[in-house]
Amino acid sequence: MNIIVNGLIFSYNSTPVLNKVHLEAKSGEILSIVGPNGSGKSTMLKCLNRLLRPSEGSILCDGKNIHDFNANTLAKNIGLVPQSEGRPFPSTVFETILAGRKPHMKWRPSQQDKEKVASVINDLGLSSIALRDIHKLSGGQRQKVYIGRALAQEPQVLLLDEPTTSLDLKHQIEVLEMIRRLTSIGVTSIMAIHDLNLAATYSDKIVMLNKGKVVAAGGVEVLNPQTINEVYGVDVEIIKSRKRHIIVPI
Amino acid sequence: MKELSKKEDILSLYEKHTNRHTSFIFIVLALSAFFVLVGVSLGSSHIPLSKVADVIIHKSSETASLIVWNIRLPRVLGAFICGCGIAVSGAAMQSLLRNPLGSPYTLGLSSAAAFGAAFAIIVLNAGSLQSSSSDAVIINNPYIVTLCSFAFCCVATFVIILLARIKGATPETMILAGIALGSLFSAASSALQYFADEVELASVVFWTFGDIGRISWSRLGIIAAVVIPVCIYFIYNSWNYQVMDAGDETAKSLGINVERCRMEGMLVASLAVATVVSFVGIIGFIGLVVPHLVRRINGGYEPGLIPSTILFGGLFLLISDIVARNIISPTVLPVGVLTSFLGAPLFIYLLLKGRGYW
Repeated sequence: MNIIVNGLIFSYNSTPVLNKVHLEAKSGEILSIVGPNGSGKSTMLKCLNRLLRPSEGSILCDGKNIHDFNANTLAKNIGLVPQSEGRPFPSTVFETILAGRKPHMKWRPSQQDKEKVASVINDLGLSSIALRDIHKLSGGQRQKVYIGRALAQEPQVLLLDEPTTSLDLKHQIEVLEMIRRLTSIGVTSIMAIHDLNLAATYSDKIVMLNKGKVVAAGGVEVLNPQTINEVYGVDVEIIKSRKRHIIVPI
Repeated sequence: MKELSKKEDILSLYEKHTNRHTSFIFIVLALSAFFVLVGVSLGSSHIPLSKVADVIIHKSSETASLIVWNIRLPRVLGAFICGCGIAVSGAAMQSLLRNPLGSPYTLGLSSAAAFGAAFAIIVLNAGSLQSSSSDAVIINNPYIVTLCSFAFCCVATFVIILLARIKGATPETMILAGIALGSLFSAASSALQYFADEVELASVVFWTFGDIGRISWSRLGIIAAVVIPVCIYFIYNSWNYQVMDAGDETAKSLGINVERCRMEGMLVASLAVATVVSFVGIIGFIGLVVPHLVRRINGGYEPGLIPSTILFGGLFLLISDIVARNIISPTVLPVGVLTSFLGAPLFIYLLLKGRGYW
């Protein structure tokens, strides 16, 4: 599904958080939104998922404005992987992922819904912990469960809010590889991410935000010493090694 | 082929897991049926357990039959239905407010009901003091008291819903509004009691002790007509609550209209509580403790939790009422006093024993 965001303006109590943001992601692409804390990355994702309503501008999914979708159609098309969730009561991995079938169920899950969840759990390698309470999982496992729920949702667009934060190196790679596999079957992924090196390695497109404005957009060349210095106030150098674009602070 | 068997394994493991809920429901149902018979059998006039079924089936003009049909059966069934209504409202409120402390009373509903009763008794002169073997005080116009307490429960609910509409239906808004309203109604009750004479005061105090003995067949009919559809509503919506447990943003991203679901659910739960409380008085702790007990036994899966809580709540109040009637026989203890006595230590036990999730 192609996503086009045009001239998006969003303010919290007249303080602009997003200012005329424009971005485009094509079907099967990974688009990373980078930028310092408070630059508007999470707000951007919330607008894309209609959790926040921008005051101006449009968000088009394959040419249709997302504000014309009903809640269920939107949920069938756009999935959200949150950074974390505060769940007050216990829930097993299976039941958490089964919640992803909600937009497809009537008042309760069908046998097909359960089968879909079983195959997602199998694909993600979570079968040994399928009935464990998600409060008892490690951060990496829990992140996988949230991704699993979004997969069970079978969306065309996946929004990920800092999917690698608080994960160890192995899980960071695992999660991003998983996202890459998904895009290979045509899912568009848009993620807010802090780690510029991971963004450089895994993204097809990078949009850099600063104070609600797009500072730079494009391929990995966006992450150059000049822009990074301008946005983060940090001097870096770029090392090219094995076709990788590595950003090292100096 | 290997992958298929793995998927089937996960599915069958899950089916086994959900069977726990089904078994739990059947066990509670069987126990409830048994305790209905026990409840009918025990009392100041003992009817042997072996005879109870016979007396229930063959209605006659014998004393035993009259006692069973006029006093014991409506009381026993009333305890069960009231327990179902209070417990399911507690479970729903905990999920809707995403707060383990949610209960029919967190929203100030009991204070509102108590104020309504005090208002009817003191201002509308609906109470008087009489002596009888079972009750120290008889309220001489019970329907006015019931209507008033129901009306004030509704007032409390509507104020909360109104505030939620203005400020957004977040759990915090609703809980804080409920606490504020609860204090306001308690203060108003105290003020009324200050001006009451001693007979009225005794009636008010008596009313606040929840007592199933006030239930007759016609009242049972009204309570059941509200509680049963409420239970069906919550079972039907249990999947929405399962998703809402994950948080408002996740629930919205899964297509749920969170604000509407929360408002509607709170309104329905309040209706059940208002109906039960206005007929039988305040029965504490069931709404709070029963859902936690069920979560402890079966986990937090809402579509399993809600039906289990309904039945377990019924069983809990049924047994409590049997104990309350017989523990210091011939004096009948109001069941509200007993549930508070049982509920508080039980809650502390759950707290210490590893709730594991708060």
